[in-house]
Amino acid sequence: MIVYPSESVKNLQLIQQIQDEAAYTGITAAEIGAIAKAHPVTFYIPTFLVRAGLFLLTVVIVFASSALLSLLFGGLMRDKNLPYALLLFGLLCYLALEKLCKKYQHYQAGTDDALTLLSSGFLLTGVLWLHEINTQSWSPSAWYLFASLSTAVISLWYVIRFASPLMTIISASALLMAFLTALHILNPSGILLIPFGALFFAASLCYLVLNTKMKAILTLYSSCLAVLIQFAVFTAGLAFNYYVADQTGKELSGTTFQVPLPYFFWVWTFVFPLVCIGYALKKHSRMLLNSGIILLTAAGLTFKYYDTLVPFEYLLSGAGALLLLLSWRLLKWLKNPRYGLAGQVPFPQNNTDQERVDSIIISATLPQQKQHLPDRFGGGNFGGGGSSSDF
Amino acid sequence: MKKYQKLYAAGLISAETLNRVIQLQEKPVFSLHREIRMILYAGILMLSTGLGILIYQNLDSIGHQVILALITAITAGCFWYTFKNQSPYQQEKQNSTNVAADYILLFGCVSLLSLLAYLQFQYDFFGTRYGLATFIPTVILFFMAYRFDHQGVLGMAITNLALWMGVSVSPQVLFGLTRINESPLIWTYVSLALLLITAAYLSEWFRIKPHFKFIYLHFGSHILHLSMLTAWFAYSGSYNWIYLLLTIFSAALLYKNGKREQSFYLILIQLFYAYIAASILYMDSLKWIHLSSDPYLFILWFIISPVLLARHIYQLHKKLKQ
Repeated sequence: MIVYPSESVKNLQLIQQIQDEAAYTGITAAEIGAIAKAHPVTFYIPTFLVRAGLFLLTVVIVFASSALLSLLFGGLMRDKNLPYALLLFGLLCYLALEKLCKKYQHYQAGTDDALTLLSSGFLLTGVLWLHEINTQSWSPSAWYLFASLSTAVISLWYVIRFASPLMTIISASALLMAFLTALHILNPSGILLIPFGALFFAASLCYLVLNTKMKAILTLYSSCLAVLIQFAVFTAGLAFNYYVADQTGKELSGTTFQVPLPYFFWVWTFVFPLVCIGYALKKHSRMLLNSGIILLTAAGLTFKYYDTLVPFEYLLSGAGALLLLLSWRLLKWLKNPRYGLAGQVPFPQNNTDQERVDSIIISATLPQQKQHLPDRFGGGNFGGGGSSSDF
Repeated sequence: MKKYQKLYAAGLISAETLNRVIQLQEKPVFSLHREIRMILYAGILMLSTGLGILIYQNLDSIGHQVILALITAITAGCFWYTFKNQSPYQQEKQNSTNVAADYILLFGCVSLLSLLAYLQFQYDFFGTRYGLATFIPTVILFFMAYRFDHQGVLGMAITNLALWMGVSVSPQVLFGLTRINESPLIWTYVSLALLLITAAYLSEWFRIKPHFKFIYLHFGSHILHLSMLTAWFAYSGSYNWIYLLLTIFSAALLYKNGKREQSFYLILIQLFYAYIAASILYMDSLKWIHLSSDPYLFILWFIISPVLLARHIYQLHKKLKQ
């Protein structure tokens, strides 16, 4: 089903794995070159910047082409015909995507990313618009269910055909939304069902993805499966996050909503990310570690949102000092590897690009000195037309 | 493990590499290097911002001398640690082995800026010599960047150099195109850009930290092109198209350099700005020949030109990869 030749996908996976592990295995550039030569990949895979550039240009081309078509066939693309026009644009983009991937072997090259998003967006908008015209009597919940299912089905096709990690996230999110909407339709007063439903969904997803049989069948989709596990971890973490529960409850049953069992939700908000981090360190899983750090940041922001006792500046300074102390201790503690953990990689790779990106981020984000320019209108602290001071 | 054994059997990796993989399998190692760096940076950012707000809000209750003593102690402590733990000066790139010292230097530089700003704000330390208040930290930051081979501090030094010249190069200001929409400031930005581009080439020419060239060119290119494009907006005379031509010309020169260095980032920046300038020039020329009301000419430009540009990027990338 996948549009790309499976041999190339497998070779690419192997080379990427070898490159990812190079900092640990100390494999030389010459050896990686020899492996790449023996495992040819026919895809066009540009660097991140080229990918971003090609993405932008493709978006401009598609929108300009749509505008040209609208001008040429303006009479046909009015009022009730507009959803059909969107479907037509979607179809044309999809055909272009098929050709790019099949003939020119573009793989995560920016062009295919843009066409995937635009064609699925046009198709989905067309379908939903067309449906809205015909089903105006539907309840909002039924409409959400239909929209979520349509999104899930359309994006699932892109996952199957192009193994796109982005469409995997969209598809899984839409499926989760459909599942939760269905739960809400079945029991509108059971707000507590929603976090449990999300947790059940995340657990089922994990079970399916981690199933060894499934893994063997879906080897060509390994990047999509990795994304799905990360999605499941986030879903489980956010299912009982206090902020998410509070806002969802208020959205569904009014502003007077109080989170039931608040202690349980608060404990989950903080403990789940810590469990993730602990498990990641034990199992050496970078994906789980990153998820845990992001969820812990979300927990910190949740605390900040509801906390009124500690002023923001104290919280910021305290957290900053704590992080500095933690990193300092970690660096000291991991000077020599302990319990399978290390502060350095055994074979550091060339990180010139990373250093450059870091320096640009630093100059853009760190606090700067303000300009000390002379006040052009100095003098006078009071008086003058009722203005109080500094005028 | 199996895949490495297969690769070894196929003669693609050495026995030495396979042995290392076997050792790794027996005694797995998981590096937290990236995560520790991330935590360090987040800690510095949060602490410096938090302390800044805290001091600002409690000026009256804490007392100026106490605050000054605190910031001075932090700055001195950071610099002392860095001088003690970093390796001696080298002309070429130094591979830092002490992550903590890198970030402590950064924290020291941020504290230094706060200290000097505080001195000027509260005690009028530099009097009316406002330039001196930005010049001194600029010199110190450049010294620190070169002494400890820190590209992040170099970025801060360039930002301060811009402040000394009376302009800001923060992304918000640059891409907002608001403050530089004042004629005299545009020429200050152009001078700054030319200074930075010259510094980039001199770094390479004299082999003094040649890897700093990228940072100089990054700032120089953006500032030069943005100020030229802003000049086109600001000067509405009949010859303002000259600024567009200048943008295309300077982009072409820097593009050649990017190609020589095989830096796709620099190449893309030049293509991006040159494309914007060319698009504006095309729209302007439609006006001159009284065809600006024709939507087809407008749309066709945005179909044909991106296709050609994408094709060029595609081919160039393939060529540079070989």
